[in-house]
Formats: sequence, structure tokens, C-alpha cells
Amino acid sequence: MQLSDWQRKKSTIGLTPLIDVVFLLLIFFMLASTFLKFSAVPVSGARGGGTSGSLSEIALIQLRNAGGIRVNGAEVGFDGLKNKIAGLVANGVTRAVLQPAEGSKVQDLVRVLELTRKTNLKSVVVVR
Amino acid sequence: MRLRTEQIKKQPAENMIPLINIVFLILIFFLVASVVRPFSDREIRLAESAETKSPGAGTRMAVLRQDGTIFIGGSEVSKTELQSQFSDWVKEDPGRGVTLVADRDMDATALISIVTSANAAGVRDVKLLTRKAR
Repeated sequence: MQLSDWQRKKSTIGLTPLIDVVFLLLIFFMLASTFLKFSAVPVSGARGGGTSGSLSEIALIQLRNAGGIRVNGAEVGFDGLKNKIAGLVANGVTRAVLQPAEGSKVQDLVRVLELTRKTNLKSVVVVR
Repeated sequence: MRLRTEQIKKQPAENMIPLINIVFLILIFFLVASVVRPFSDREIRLAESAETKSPGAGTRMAVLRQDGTIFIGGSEVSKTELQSQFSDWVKEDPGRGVTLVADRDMDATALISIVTSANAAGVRDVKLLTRKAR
């Protein structure tokens, strides 16, 4: 009776090593993972080579380091950009070139790219 | 006597089973609900956007810190090394895009020179990783 009892105890899996490993996995995933929701904004740089279409189809958007935006030289804010672009698109503009000033932040660049993607522009390229 | 030793030996194991259940549950929650992050949150603060398109799986990543240093796979690279890395990636698999993980306070012109160099190396699909605004 005693012998069979000893054999039964031997055959059970040790819970302590199991729980050690599970805790280790738990701590690893807690530290290595994030709950941030990621998204991606496509950016395209200007390519060399000839372009088809006239210059009047292209709008120049300048991002200034104080956070202001100029479209074709006229000062507009983040709020006015969409309407300004919509007005230009109605006048035949199909593409835009985005040029941030030295010292402007990536956050502002993302914001402008996002705003221009909501308009009817066919493409927006970034240049230095 | 025999009864008592059996009770003493069984008791801790039986108390551990609900504990293991809960720990397993937490483990599975973290596995399902989160993603392994490709960079350190302390070093990179992503720009916010309302864009809903998520970066595709299997995209290559280059991390650009605020001070302009570039990291690929955890090791720092120079701009010329980055350029040759872009060319290698295009040679390996031209269809795969590159996602740039840039700090939100990084200089936008420095970012653009990297985007331009990626395009010059033949990378067609360059994306900028952002986080969804709350």
C-alpha cells in the first residue's frame, strides 16, 4: 500500500517547475509587448527623371518650422489646408510637392500628409 | 498516521492549480491582445495619426531616433550603410516595403533624405510608422 502510494506520487508532474516556466513566459510577454495601435502612412520621395504634365498641375506645400503651412506661397493653417487644396484641385491641380523647412517636426509632416491624402490629389511627393 | 501524511503532501499541489489557471489565463491574454514591439518606447515616441491602415506583416524596419541616429535590427548604422542595406533588401525581395520608425520630434528634412535614398535604392513602398491617435 505504501509502495503504490509512493509510485503514484512520483508519476505526477512537478507543478513548481511548470509554474516557474509559465511565470517566466508571462513576464517576458508583459515586458516585450505593447498595446499601442500602429498604423502606417505611405511617403514617397521625388524621383529623378522627366515628368509628364505641366507645372500648373503641381501645387507646392511648404511646411515651416513654426508649424505654419504655405500653399503656393500663401499662408494657410492646418485647418485651412483642406479647403485650399480643394480649391486648387477644382482649378486643375492634380499633384502636390511637400517641402518641409529645416527644423520642422515629423509630427507636422505626418499631419500634412494625412490631410492631403483626404483630398482629391493624385499624388503627394516629399522633397527637401 | 498514513492519512495525515497524505493530506500534508497533497495540500500544496491542489492549491497551486487555481493559481496556475490564472497565470495561464494572463499569459494567454498577453499573447492574444498585444503585439511584440519592434522598438523601445523610451527611445521612440511615434507621431500620431488618424490613419487606419496598419503596417503590413513582414515589412522591414529602420528606426530613426530624434538625434538622427539610425538603427536596424538593434545596431546603429551610418547613412551609407543604410543606403547599402536598402539595396540589399531590394536585391533580396523587391516587393517588400520598408517601414520607417521615426520619432515625432525628428527633423522632417532628415527623414525626407532617408525616404529619398530608399527610393533611389529601388524601394518602392516606403511607409512611416505612426500610432493611432486616442
